Order: sequence, then C-alpha cells, then structure tokens
Amino acid sequence: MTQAEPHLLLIEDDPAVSRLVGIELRHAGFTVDQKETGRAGLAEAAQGSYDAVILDLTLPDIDGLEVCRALRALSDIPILMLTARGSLPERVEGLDAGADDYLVKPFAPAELVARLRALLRRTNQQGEHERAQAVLDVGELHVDTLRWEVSFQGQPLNLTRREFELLRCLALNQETVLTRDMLLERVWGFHYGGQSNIVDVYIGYLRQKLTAVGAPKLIETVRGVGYRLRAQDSQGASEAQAE
Amino acid sequence: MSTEAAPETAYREQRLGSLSRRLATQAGLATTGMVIGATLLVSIFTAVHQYTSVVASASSTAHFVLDTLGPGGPTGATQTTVFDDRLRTDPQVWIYRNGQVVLQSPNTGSRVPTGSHSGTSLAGPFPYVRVQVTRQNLSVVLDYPLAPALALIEDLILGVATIGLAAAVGGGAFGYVAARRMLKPVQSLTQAAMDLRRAPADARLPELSDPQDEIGRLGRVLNDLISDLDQQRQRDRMLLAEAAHQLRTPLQIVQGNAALLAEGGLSPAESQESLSAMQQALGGMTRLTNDLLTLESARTRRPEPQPLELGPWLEGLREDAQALAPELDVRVLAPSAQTVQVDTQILTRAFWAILENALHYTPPGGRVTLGASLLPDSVEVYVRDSGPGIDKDELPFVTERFFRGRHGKGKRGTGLGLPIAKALAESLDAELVLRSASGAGTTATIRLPRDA
Repeated sequence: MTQAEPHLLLIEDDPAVSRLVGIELRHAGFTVDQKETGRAGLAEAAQGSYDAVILDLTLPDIDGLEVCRALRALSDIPILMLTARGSLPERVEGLDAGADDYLVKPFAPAELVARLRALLRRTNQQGEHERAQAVLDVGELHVDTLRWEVSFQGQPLNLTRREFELLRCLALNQETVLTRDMLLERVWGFHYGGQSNIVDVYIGYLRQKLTAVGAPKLIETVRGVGYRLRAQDSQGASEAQAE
Repeated sequence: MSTEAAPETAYREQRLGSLSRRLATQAGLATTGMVIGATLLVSIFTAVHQYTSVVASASSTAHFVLDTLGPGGPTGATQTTVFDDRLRTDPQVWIYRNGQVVLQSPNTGSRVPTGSHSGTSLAGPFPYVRVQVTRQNLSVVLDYPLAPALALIEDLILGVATIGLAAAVGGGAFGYVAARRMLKPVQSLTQAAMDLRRAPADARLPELSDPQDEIGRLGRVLNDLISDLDQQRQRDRMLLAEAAHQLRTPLQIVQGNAALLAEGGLSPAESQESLSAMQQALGGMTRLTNDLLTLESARTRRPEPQPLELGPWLEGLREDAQALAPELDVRVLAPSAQTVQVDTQILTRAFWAILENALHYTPPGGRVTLGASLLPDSVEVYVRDSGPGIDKDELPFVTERFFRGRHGKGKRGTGLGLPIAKALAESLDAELVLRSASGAGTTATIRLPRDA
C-alpha cells in the first residue's frame, strides 16, 4: 500500500483526542485534515477528495449519526466511527447509519491504524464479500470456503470450525494486519466479554497445524497490533516492527 | 436527583382544597337534586288529585242544584247561593230554561258564560272548571273556582324551593366536611412525602389509621416502593464507591509512572518497564469500565429474541473453553437439535461469564461440563465444574458486585463476572441458580422461561 499517501478527514471535537489521533495517523503515513464540528466536516468532505473519514459520534453541533447519514448520501467513502458509547445497540445504530467500522474509546492508536488500512484495502480492491465466495489462494495456501477445505502445497489441513473461520478471515484480508478485536468481532461476534487472548490461543493452534505441513511462518505476529497472513513466509520480525 | 425538583410550595393546599371543594359541590348538587325531584313528584300528584276532585265536586254540585230545582225549574223564591262546604268555596251558577238564563247566583254579578259550556279556564282573575248538566228543558252551568287548589300547589312549590335551597347548603356542607375527613390521611401522606423529600434517609410514610382501606393500601405500596428504591440506591452507591476505589490503584500506577517518565533520566529498560506497567493498569481500568457498562446495559437493554440451536451453540463454547484451558477436560452434555427463542448475544455473554468463572477456579486436570436440559416450562443451560466449590456461608454473596470468596483471593478479574451473569440473565427473565458445596464443585444454571 504505497501509492499516494492516503488522505484522511478526521472530524473530532475533543482537541486532546484529535491531536493524539492526528499524530498517530501521520506517523503511520497518512495525510490528515482535521475538523472540529459536524458542519465544517461535512462541508470539507463534500469538496475535498478524501480516501476515508474518521468521525466522532458526539459532536457539538450535529449528531455524529446525522453526519454519517449525510456523508453516506453524498458518496460511498469509507467511514470509521469513533465513540465512547460501546454497547451493542449503539454499534448497530452506527453501522445502520452507514459507517463501515466502529471503534470504541479508549482504543489503542495501532488499532485505529489497522482498521483504517483494512478499510482502505477493502475499497481499493474488491469488497470482502465478493471475494468471500471464491476459493482463496494465499501463496501456496489454498482455502476453499465452499467446501471448508484447507491445504498447503497440496497437503490437507484438518481444522476445527473456529480454526477454519479464523484462517478464512485472515486469508480474506491477506497482507493486511488484523487486530485481536477485529478478529474477535469477525470470527466470534461481539458477544464475548473480555478474554481477547482467545485469539492468541487459536492462532497458536493454527500455527502448530501449519508448521506440521511445513508452513511455520505464514501467520505473522505484528507486535502490539495483531496478526497478518502473508503469501510468502515473512523474513522475520524486522518488517513487522515497522507498523 | 434534583434536576427537576419542584419547590414545595407547588404541593401546597390548593390541590387538596380543590378536591374537597369538588366533592362538596357534588354532594350539594346531589342532595338538592334529590329533594327537588321528590317534592316535584309529590306536587304533580297533588295537582292531579286536586284537579280531579274539583271536577268531581263541580259535577256533583251541578247535579245537586238541578235536583233541588225539581222539574218545574226555579221559582221566584228559589235561592241561588251555593256553597261547597267541602272545598270551602262558592261556585257561580247559571240556570237556563230553553236556552235562556232565568236565574243566576248573586256571586256571578252580571257575568254570563260565553263560549263552551264545559272546560277549564286558568286565564283571568277567576280560574275555574266549568260543567253543564241538562235535564229536559232545564240546564245548570256551574263555574267551579280553582283558586283554593292553585293556592295549595303554590304553597307546595314555595315549600319545595325553600327545602331545596336548605338541602343544597346542607348537602354541600356535609360533602365538604366528609371530603375533608376522608382526605385527611391523604393530607398526612402528602406531608410525610414532603418530609421524605427533604430527608430521604430511611424515612417511611406514617402508619395510617386503617391500613386496609384504599388509602392505607396506597400508603403500604408506597412504603414498599420506597424501601425497594432505597435498597437499589444503597447498592448503586456501594457499586460506585467500590468502582472508584478499584480505580485508585491503576490510576496511581499510571500517575506515578507518567511522572517518572516526565522527569526523564530513566534507562531505556526502566522506561520500557514504566510504560508496560502503565499499559497493564490501563487494561485493567478498561476491563472494569466495560464490565460496569455491561452491568448497566443489562438493566436498560431490551432483549431481541431469535432462534438459537443449543447443541452447536454449546459445542462452539466448549471449543473455545477447551482452547483457553487445555489443562481441563471440557465436555458438552446436551439434547441434540433443541431450539430456543432467546437473545443470543445476551445469553452468550451471561453464559460466558459463568463459564469463565468455572475455567478460572477448576484446578488442572479437573472437568467442566456444559449442558442443557429441557423442563416442562423452562430450559436450563448450565456449567458444572469439579472445582473447590463455594462455601455455604459465601454462596449468597457471590453474585454481589466485587465480592471475592476465599478461593478467589489473589485471582485476577474485576469481581463483576457473576453479577454480570445474574443481571444479564434477569434481563432475559431468566434466573441464575448456583448450587455448590465446599469441595464438591459448583453448578451454575441459567434457567430460561420457555417461549420467552
């Protein structure tokens, strides 16, 4: 992902949050414009050419959900919503209003970056859902989502249901870092309280099974962020640290 | 609490007063109406009775006059004065022979009957009932005065008006007094409630004279409501205090390490240590906050039931539990292909809370069984473990927020797991049942109503 620097619009009224998020995003290689009100943000989004919008739910002038609906009416630009309210009905409401993803405060800056990358990637290439129907090939790893079969260099892997779903999710987003929370949401659903180390446990099992067929480093750990499935065995941790 | 507290003057008299006034007016009107109605009925009966008796008297008097005259008719010596002793009146009499007036009573003056020779005239100064009796060529026309009868009715109406007025005043006064008496307990309830607003700490409404009557019942219900709310408030206050207390330690860690880092002069390794301590403290605070929010949302969120197949659901949970605790033996015991209607998100979250607890407390090599059983009017999903169990004296308290039993000393976790399970289960109209004996493991059951 190194064409032009992705251009982001951040609509957030709290200066401390805005500063922190801005710094983190610029560090990660994004260009960021910042607005403090829904009205200013909407006007800016309408004229500027942005790759994605990061939108806070509670704004001083217009409700974030309204801004989201208005934005969605204008274009299909990816929208990531930020909020301090994290209960499920509110999440659903946010996604119903047209947000593509939803992040609850407090969040780790790396989580935001990973989600943005995944969002941008999904819109640059085809939608995840379209590709979901196909057979997935990641290098020599072959994931048949219709027959629920996985093989590496022709050798079949015997996976449990959760292991398969986890690997499929990683394969769908190959070359993109997925955080533990993203994996929890996508593979397990929202309803597990706490215990995000369950992801690590399953990654461990997947790695064991991949090692057994000769692919020990297909799933890469990105420290402090999450996991990434690579077509080529990773060269080590050096690249991962760059995140 | 006092965002919209009304000033106490808003509750003063006028509201109470208006109810008494309304009752007084109604009682007055009702009494007056009854009295007037009754007397009007009597008046009408009297009037009808009077009229028929006047008509009868007139007719009999006319016949009497005709009989007295004999077939020859009046002579020069015939007396023409008639006086009806019964009704104390003197009718006017005309005697005709062959259509000509031959004699008339002195009280007629020069008046001669015109128009119809029978009927009633109420107009004019002399209201009368007129009758005519004829025999051969003689006829008697008689105007019988109605004045005495009318006078009687007039007196009656006057009486009715007086009595009615008195009744209205009396009824109103009675109504007002009765209403005041009846509303006295309400007044004291109001006063007590106002006092309670001022000093709410375990105050109660007064015992009313008769706790069984309508107002007494209201008082009792209000008292129960007050003590329920009181308990709720007490629990909330404790939760708030305990939560704040639990935040102090991680806050201390963050504050201290931030100060250290700001001062500078730490070695890279020391800085790293400070940072990871801060991150750990923040993680703990985030978990606590999430748990508190879950607890709160259990109270407010409305469940959205959808069909859930118990077998695969438990199998998925088993797989995750086994993955998290490879040193335990996790099994499923469930009837195959059973579907229930339930909010899957809420049930899973509640079930996971009791499952996590079991994984947490069961020593390596132990067994955890996930199961479901169908009862006639409920569906139970349960987690049974071979852990140390819960001591009898602690069993009632383990679902209290932040309670930590003897076996839980030093374990991590927010202390909100079972309270969350309980609150979420209750939001599904389900019940969380814990059965345990020290040393004999624990069975935690969520009992869902069927078709809920």
